[in-house]
Amino acid sequence: VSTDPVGATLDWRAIGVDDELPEMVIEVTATRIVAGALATRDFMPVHHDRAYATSQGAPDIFMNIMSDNAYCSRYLTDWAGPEAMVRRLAIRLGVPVFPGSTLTYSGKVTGKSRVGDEGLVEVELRAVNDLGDHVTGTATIALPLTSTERAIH
Amino acid sequence: MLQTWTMATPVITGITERGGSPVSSDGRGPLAVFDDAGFTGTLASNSDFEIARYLRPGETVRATTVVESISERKETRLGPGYFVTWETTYTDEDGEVVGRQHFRILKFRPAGHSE
Repeated sequence: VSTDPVGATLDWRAIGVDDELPEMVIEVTATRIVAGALATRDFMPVHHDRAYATSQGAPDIFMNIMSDNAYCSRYLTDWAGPEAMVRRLAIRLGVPVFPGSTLTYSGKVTGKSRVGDEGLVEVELRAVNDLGDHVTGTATIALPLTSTERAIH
Repeated sequence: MLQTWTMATPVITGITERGGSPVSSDGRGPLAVFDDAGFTGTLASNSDFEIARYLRPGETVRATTVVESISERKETRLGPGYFVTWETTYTDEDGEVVGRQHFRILKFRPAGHSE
């Protein structure tokens, strides 16, 4: 994984529309797919039983959507920092993720607004593998303005 | 996590006989009608969640799910199926909404399986 998970929370005022998020790369193994499915209590056999998955017409087991929510949330908070809160995450799944594929996450800031003592940031994000777009989506992140300002002054 | 907490407790025994459903026949939800009709496949296509605030230890959260829409029958690369969209609303003890999720799945009849 190419991002540093331990960083400071971003200063909302320093974020600009069109800023790009650093890439995150995840090498997907069967273990990662099974672990993600069972950790999210998703026991559908297509996510852990290869024989079952092939009987359903898939070439192998594939990642479940709750793992996608988790990795997308992590991608956003690895970038925005520990005080950032993912307020909204809307994703659409495209091609599946099978063991042995590499997921590359990218994202871009599309908007900013200030609501009370929070700074909101709109992000467009995408995760691709060798088959194409696996996840496309949008997210809203909330950053605490007050603590940011305390840290600066 | 809100969605994870609502996932049914799996019943491993008999999962193959139930066409891959990890839930026993007790307490089956409204989607069982699809399984009974041979549309045993499930593929998630969309998730859209909003989180109003973090939860604190000791809170009790209630989840209410409403089926929003069921598409016309579609022919997909996986086989014929229906897109089902539901909305789950999570509330605290005071009835305040702490989270909401719109979720869409395709219930399909796996190719090669007869009606």
